[in-house]
Amino acid sequence: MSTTFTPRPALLRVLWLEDEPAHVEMGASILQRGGFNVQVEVVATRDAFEQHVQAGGFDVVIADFELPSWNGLEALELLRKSDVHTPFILLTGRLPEETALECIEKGVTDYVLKDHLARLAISVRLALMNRNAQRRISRSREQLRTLAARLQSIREEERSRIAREVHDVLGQALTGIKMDAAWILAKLPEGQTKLVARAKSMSSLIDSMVQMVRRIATDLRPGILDNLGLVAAVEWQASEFQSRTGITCQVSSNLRDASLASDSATAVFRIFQETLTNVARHAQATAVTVSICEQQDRVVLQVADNGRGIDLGEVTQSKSVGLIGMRERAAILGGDLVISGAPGQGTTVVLSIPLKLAAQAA
Amino acid sequence: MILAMTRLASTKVFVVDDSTIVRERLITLLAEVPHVTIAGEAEVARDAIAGIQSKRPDIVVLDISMPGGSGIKVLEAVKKDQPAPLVIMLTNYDHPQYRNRCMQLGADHFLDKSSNFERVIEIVRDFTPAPCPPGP
Repeated sequence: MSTTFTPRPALLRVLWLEDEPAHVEMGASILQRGGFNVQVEVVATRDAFEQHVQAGGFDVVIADFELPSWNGLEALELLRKSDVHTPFILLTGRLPEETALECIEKGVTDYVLKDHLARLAISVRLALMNRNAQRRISRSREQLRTLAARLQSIREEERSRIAREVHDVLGQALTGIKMDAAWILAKLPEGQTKLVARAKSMSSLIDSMVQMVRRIATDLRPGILDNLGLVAAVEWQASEFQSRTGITCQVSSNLRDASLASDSATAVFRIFQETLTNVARHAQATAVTVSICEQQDRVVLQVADNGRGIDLGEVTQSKSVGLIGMRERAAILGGDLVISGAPGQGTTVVLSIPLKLAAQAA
Repeated sequence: MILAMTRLASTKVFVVDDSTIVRERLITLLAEVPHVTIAGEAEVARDAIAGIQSKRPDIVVLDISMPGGSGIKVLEAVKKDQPAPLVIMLTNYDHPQYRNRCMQLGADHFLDKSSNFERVIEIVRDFTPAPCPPGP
């Protein structure tokens, strides 16, 4: 015994912009024959179209190019303000090549000429496949961003934990040993020059270990960020940078950062560090000015150098993981990062993120 | 003839550090200084503020980084008291940013815990305690 399986036609909700009902009827029957279960809303005026766009709930927009009071391209513009994915197909009597090209450039998914109406079903099918692919890409981007944010925060937590252990446990133990060494040194009887010399060398060895332990902890996560806040951490990093590279680094700020949420502070600080690394590696600069300010509920970090100036091509086509990381870090917090520069006129990086307060972060 | 004698009281020191290793050793070193008594010790900020306010020490040796609240908070709180104790910040964070913040909040000394702790002993030794009111 065999059963024949007939697939149920997929429901296709069409928002149809057309002033000629007969055209809708013909088009709908083509779609029906093409395997769609068509549900049509026909509108002709701008107001009606706008209302339907706001209400949503359709799979495709089919629009006539020329309407009595407006046209298909204006409709497209209106749609794309709120909806980037829904396919928009122009159905028109005639369309000169250059107009067709302009339409595609403006975001029309496809166009079908009324004397080739049979192509409408294929056009819709391809457009839906395209839309689904786009949605999958968007979803996947979102998932990747969530994953990246999670990895970022795990990494930061781990670094903090290891930094604390190294700094507190190892650091304190070394301080204890150092104190013992000082105590022994003080108790040594006079004349024990060899013992005194050995105790002193032990003491200076401990000093260098303490410095090493502090450096390891600070490289992992500077305690100053947690203890004194973002502005102090940025100032500290700037002076470290200056003494390490010889590039002068001036910081100004009007930020009351005591209340800044910890993840925001961390992100701004890490982006700042990455920016300085880029300055040292690529900019050939001699001076950097940094400002970190509060502007209309946003934290704005600006880092400007006087180096060779980044090429805009370098910014847009950059495969640099550092730049991608900086952008993603900003995007996770709803912020953005703009890098600008001109040959010989230095590079400026502007990071802007919403000012999230510690009280809101919980 | 009875002379009104001015008797020197001992210097009371309070030690705040989250590390037992460090606290014990500091106390050992301080206890060897003549006329010094250890008024108390604490390892977290909250206990430190309460302890200092009840024991009224002359000198506080204060760490910065502690779990559950920084020594900077303790500094801010105890310097509001009158008379405020002399506060020696003794820390593993020897950056100028910390020093400036602590000095702004009224710290009397700012010392590196590892390389400069012996200064604590000198400061305590040189500290002249307030004379006690004449005895009966």
